[in-house]
Amino acid sequence: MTIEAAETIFWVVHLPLMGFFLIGMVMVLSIWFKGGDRRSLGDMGQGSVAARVGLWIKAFVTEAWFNRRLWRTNFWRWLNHFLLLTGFMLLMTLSGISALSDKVLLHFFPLEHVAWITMWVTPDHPITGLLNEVGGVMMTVGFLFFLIRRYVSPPSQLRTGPMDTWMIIGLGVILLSGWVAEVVRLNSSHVGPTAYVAFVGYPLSLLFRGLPLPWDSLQAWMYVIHGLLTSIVIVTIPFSKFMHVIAGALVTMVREIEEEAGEHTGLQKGAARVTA
Amino acid sequence: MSQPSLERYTLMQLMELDACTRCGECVEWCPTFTEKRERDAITPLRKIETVRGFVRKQYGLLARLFGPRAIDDEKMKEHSGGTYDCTLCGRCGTVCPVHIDTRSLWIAMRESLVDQNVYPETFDHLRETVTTRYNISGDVNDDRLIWSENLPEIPEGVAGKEQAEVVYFVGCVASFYPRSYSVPQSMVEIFDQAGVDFLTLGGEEWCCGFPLVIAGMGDAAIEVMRHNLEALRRTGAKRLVAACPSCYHTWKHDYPRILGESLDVEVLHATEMLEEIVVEGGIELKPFKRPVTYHDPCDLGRTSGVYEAPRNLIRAIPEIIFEEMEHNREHSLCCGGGGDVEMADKDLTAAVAGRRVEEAAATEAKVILSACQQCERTLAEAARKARIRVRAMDVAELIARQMVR
Repeated sequence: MTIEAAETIFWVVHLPLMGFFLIGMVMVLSIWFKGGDRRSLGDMGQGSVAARVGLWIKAFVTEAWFNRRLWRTNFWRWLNHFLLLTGFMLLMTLSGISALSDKVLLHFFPLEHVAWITMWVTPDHPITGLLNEVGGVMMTVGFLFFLIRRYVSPPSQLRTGPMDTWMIIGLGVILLSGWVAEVVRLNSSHVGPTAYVAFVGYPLSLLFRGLPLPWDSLQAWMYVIHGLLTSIVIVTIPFSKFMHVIAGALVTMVREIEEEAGEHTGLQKGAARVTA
Repeated sequence: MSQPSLERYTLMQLMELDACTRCGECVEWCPTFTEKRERDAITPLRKIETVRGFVRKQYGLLARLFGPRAIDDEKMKEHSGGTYDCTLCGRCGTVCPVHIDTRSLWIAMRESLVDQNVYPETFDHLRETVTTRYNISGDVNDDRLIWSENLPEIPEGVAGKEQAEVVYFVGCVASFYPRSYSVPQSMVEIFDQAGVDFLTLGGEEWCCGFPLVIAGMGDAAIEVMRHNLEALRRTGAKRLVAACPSCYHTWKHDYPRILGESLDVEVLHATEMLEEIVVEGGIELKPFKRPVTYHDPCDLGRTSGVYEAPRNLIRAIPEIIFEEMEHNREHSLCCGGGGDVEMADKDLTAAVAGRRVEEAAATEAKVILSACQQCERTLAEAARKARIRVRAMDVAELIARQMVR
């Protein structure tokens, strides 16, 4: 199979899956909006729109991403969370930029000579390769911490249910297929001279280089497999514990903004819908 | 059994159900689960998971496609038991990495359980008592000033005024439980000595509504809240002072929210008012040379954010030896007396209180101070049962005792 064919298969399956994901998200949002006190999140914070956007960004960075409360409570859990989330966000951002560059900018405009656009569709470009590698390594280390905490030395308060198991399987298959795809790609004939920037993937690929495998064909297959496994996991976000990535980030940001505005101040204000 | 409605939850609370990461941090900090490890339904994590499951069964994708699925009655009862065995101390909320406002969520769950008629029967009695007798004990409400009868001199503010600058809202526990009489006695003595222009509402004071709000029966509290607000407004007071943290929290946060109007009155906890009096030199204090510690009432600390006023008051007493307990301020342990748990499970309350008293004893304090009549009562009882020689006392009582007359 060629890379072009693999891409076609990927998009044909990926787009309907993303449709299911959107349906799931709409369903979740429709449940949320059945609740009372539907204050517009856009109204939160004080000052101009720019000030509010600034406040939201600050809240995202300090609470959802850096999670100061977790930092104060438990360093190892914080590190686990930070590595997984940062790696995930980095890889998702790189995938998004890559798709934007490839499918929009380079597809519709004559920008092939603009290096800072073409670099995003060149996996071996030193910057792209390094950033992808850093993201992958962060997620993998975070995932290993996650496994150790949940299965090797679980604290007494931890409960592992089907939702947790699915999350582990989902993340595990994405990471594993990602590393296999990386090794296969680095052993194919499409690799450039700076492949070594993949500081984990490249040494790993050398270990398997001697195997008599059709690397070029496998590269296309692994592209499809890794991409579609990721899509399948994304589809389950609205229906699984993965949803906490979105809902948790929103809740922490809203709380931070409320506290900044003196509206919550860490207080818990009582019942929900009792009004005269 | 009716199906759970989502109307009792806010948009944020429904989002919080999905935000829970099941990390279990809350479980470790839950005072009731610590004492009842066999009851997983008590844990914050399980409560959220259960309600999320109910929501999915009723409103999820499969429910949309094939109709809502029935909720198992036993599971609902188990969830109800866990939800009503919670002291609503809110400690879980202070450690939740995604900042879930747990206490509000538990109350919303209780409201939903009341709608579905799955709650302990004893709460029907509570509702009836509060809405017909206007207090939590079922006593004759006109006897609210019974605590003042053995004061050496009854200040004019206790029963002889109709207008004043400050209304002292005594609260049901201090009004009707003899063990707590010394708190209002101390308060009015301090006010009198400091020359505060105050009055009490006497029989016109009704239960603030807090027990109903936290029982998930807030709808029934609206009438008593309206009555109290009208009684307060008739006095022309600018300030309302409550020595009970639950009354304070309810007046300060729940009245404006539930009644939908600004009170136009400054609501203070007794410790805030007493701190002001002491700082301004309204009273002079004698030395107290014994080691003391301070227990943060949940409704004053975690729920209302008042941590420093009582500590400043304690430190204002000359020569006092003040030691913090291991868990203090927002991480303070619960005394077990909150959340109406004692109505359903006295042993659980006693066990939670026992742990707090042990922590107080570890500081070598001879007095465990608090700023809540309910905390004082449960802690005193626990100390007696455990034969720990530490005396539970309200900060106001100590201030009155050390006041130079």
